[in-house]
Amino acid sequence: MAAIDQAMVSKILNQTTPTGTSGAPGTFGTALAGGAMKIRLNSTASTASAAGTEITGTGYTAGGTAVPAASTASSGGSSVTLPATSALSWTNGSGGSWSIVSWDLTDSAGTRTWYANFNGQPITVANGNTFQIAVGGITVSLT
Amino acid sequence: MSEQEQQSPLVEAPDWMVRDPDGQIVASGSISEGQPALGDSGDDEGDE
Repeated sequence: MAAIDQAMVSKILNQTTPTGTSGAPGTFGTALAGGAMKIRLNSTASTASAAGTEITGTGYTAGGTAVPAASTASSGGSSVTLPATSALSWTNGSGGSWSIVSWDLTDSAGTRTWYANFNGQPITVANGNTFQIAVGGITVSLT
Repeated sequence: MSEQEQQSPLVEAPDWMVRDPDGQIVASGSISEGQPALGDSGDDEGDE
């Protein structure tokens, strides 16, 4: 299960409550970017107010990795799981170990939407080893 | 009842894995539970 970025909380609340002119629904604000969303990995914990410190080194692209395909859309309040169709993988070629604590889901421009820390963190990924998030490993829900 | 209901095995695939260069899993785990996302649904009681 994931938690939601606090700025995203405000966007959702403002869009769905009478915070607009004369009590109309408010606005979401800047829309999320249209490209594939990304998962970024961090060496420190993410919180509602800020992402963790992103890992670095060969095998990891700053800003994260795009999800491979569309997830099944929520219906009737159901959760959304990701990644769809294939696992996300990062092979550590940095020359040292990665220490992975948390992840963030962002749009293609880096605006954060959801986050969580991994159970068992910090996860040590030795040089040459591969870290994977399984298909459906992340569940996002509002209930 | 002569037949026992067959229950689904409680085997959960890991959400994350660390694999060595041969593809063997050397560590694995789950994605942690996040705090309630929006508001207080109030229905998080256990099913014991």
